[in-house]
Amino acid sequence: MSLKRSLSGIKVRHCKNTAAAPVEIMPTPDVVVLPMQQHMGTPCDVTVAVGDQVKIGQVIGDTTSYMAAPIHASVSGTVVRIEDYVSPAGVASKAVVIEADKKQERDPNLAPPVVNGYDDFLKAVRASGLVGLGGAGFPAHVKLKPRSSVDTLVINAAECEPYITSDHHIAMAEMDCLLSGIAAIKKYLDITRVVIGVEDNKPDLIKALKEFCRYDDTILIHSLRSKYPQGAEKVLVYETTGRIIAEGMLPADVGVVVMNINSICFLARYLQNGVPLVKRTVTVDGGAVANPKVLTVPLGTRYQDLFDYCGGFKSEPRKVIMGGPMMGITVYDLNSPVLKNNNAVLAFDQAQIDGFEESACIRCGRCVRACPFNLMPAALEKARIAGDLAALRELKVNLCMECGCCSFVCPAKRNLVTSNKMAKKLLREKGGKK
Amino acid sequence: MELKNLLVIAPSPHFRDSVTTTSVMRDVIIALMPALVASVVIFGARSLVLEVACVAACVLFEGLFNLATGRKQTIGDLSAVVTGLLLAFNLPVDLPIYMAVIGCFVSIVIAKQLFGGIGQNFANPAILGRVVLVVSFSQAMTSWLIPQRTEAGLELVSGATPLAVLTTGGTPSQSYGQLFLGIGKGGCIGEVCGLALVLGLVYLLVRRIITPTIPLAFVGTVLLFTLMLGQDPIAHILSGGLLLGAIFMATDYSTSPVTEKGKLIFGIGCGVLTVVIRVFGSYPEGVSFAILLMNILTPHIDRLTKAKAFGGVYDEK
Repeated sequence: MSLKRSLSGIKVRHCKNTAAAPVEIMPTPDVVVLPMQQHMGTPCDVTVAVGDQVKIGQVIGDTTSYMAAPIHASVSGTVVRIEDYVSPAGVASKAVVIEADKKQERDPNLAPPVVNGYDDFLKAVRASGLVGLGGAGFPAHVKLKPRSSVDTLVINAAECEPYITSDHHIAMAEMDCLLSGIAAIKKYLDITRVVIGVEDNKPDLIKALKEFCRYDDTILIHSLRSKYPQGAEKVLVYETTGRIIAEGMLPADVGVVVMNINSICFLARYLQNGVPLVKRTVTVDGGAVANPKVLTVPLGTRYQDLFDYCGGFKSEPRKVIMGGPMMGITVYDLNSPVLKNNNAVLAFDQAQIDGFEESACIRCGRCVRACPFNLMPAALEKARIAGDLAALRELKVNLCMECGCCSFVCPAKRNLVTSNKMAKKLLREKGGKK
Repeated sequence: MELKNLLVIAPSPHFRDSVTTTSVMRDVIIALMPALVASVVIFGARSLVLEVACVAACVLFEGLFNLATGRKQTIGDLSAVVTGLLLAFNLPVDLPIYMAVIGCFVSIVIAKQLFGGIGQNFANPAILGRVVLVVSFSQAMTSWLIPQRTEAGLELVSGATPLAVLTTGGTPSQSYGQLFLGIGKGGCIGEVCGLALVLGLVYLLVRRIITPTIPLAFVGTVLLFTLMLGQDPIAHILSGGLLLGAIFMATDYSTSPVTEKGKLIFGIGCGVLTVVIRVFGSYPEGVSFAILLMNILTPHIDRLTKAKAFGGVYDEK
């Protein structure tokens, strides 16, 4: 046993209501909305025109920029509109609206990629449209070309956010894909060790992974205590490998590549059948949803269609969230589409949005004890309000990963993580050079 | 379903802990209940009169101040109730009510609200209230009644507290057991029963309202320091307001450091100052002054004990 100390975190209600539910394949919706920005980086340019007939897997948006991944048609049908779209996070891009013909024909040109080396592999990963499916939507081909040499692949199956079960379901159903995906990455990146981190609230997945990987002694299944945010990249790397990704470093700088388990399963499927990222599995849950379900849906499916398929609302939805309750973003419109990195869609009722009124900080120190990175959120909030850039820098607000533990534990219900986000923005805009 | 309201747009997280400022204060009040019961058992119903009067006065002053200044009403957070109870616990049983009310005014209006209300005050309100009363009404605040059980019932006879005996070189007449339980011992109404205070501490720790750092550092320092000075450390710990101060007053969020390292320094400082005042000063009791002095140092301790971030790269200085 190592003596390293675990990072702080919080105990949250798991609410994994859909963990035992079967994954249902939702019937093709009438319309899908496919924004050109579904990844971190540069938005794609639309490559189709209104009136075009498209088939599943056909590229409808791409760019020459490195930091991007192409967008593919997720249904077969007709491009009916190219509209302005503003993401729930406030980022504007174009979106291609396709009316489905319900024939669900695949692009006949789709074929398994020919991979004869690392460059081919990276090209194939880019062509697949893959971005990190669990979190920030980081383009996978960028991640798989690390800037320093790596020896360890850390696979994120923590799924530490409440409610979300999509990774759990994918991993259970596609374990053979997982192994071939791992094999591909090991082959091209000189990986010698693979660690799969799973929170211990998924004992069935831990057991199945251990059973399945028992003949490969380079793969370690790491059972993580169920403590939010075990799935955050720096936390996961530290807990599974003991390596510290210090300020200014990327995982590659400590020899690690981190990928979501769902992303690896997809990559393996793509290498076998050449079908790009056109659908995903999403948990639909929350107090307002009549029948919470786990659904496999074409990308771009509108939330309203998801909720309709889940029996509609049993109480009035007051807050609809893209993602989990800890880091998810509220959407302003039920016509919001499912994006590549959108693992859950939650609808909260009135009871779930009460009790958020801010009052004065009582200096209890709970935020300091909860912060996995040992930051001082209340002190940061004071520094931000005072406009004290030097204090913000000294207290390392730039290291905040925005997990929300501080806001969660605050008895005065202060929006501490929001304050940190604002402080980071303030430093970017006014901070200048250090 | 027809939507009656627009969707709420709010920053994450969309889950919050059930702990609120009010629930924290409620827990502190619950933790103070054993000592309240003990005060009534030991000193009689007058204790309860004092406690009720202080709580009522503190809540009233807080409410009126908020009304007068047009601030948001905060009496619902129960912090004024805690201040009232703590101030009452720091008073002799026969203190005239009007004096207690003056103490409440100092605590709530001067120590707390004039500095910006909850979380903003630099001095512990109850302690400042007590200290002002001690220097303003020193006769009334330092004459003690010792409860004695007789055939006729409870009788209060004036006499010296064990701490006064102890700090003038004598040995208290009570056994350790009597000192711990608060039997036949003079003192402030809330401080005499160590058992009740320790029960409160256990509750606060179990409910994670406080961490044990400050009480342990405070009491531990008193133990070591008095031992080094050749005094009876157990009698020092069980006499006077040490346990009340270390468990309930020094742990006040607003006026103690935020980090555990800071709390350790704070607790040690409180312990050292308490013993220095008790042994070398002219006042028999030093707990209030010690905590008050450390309150003043708290911003500096906070500055010196800033947490180091995980993976943070710091300039060598």
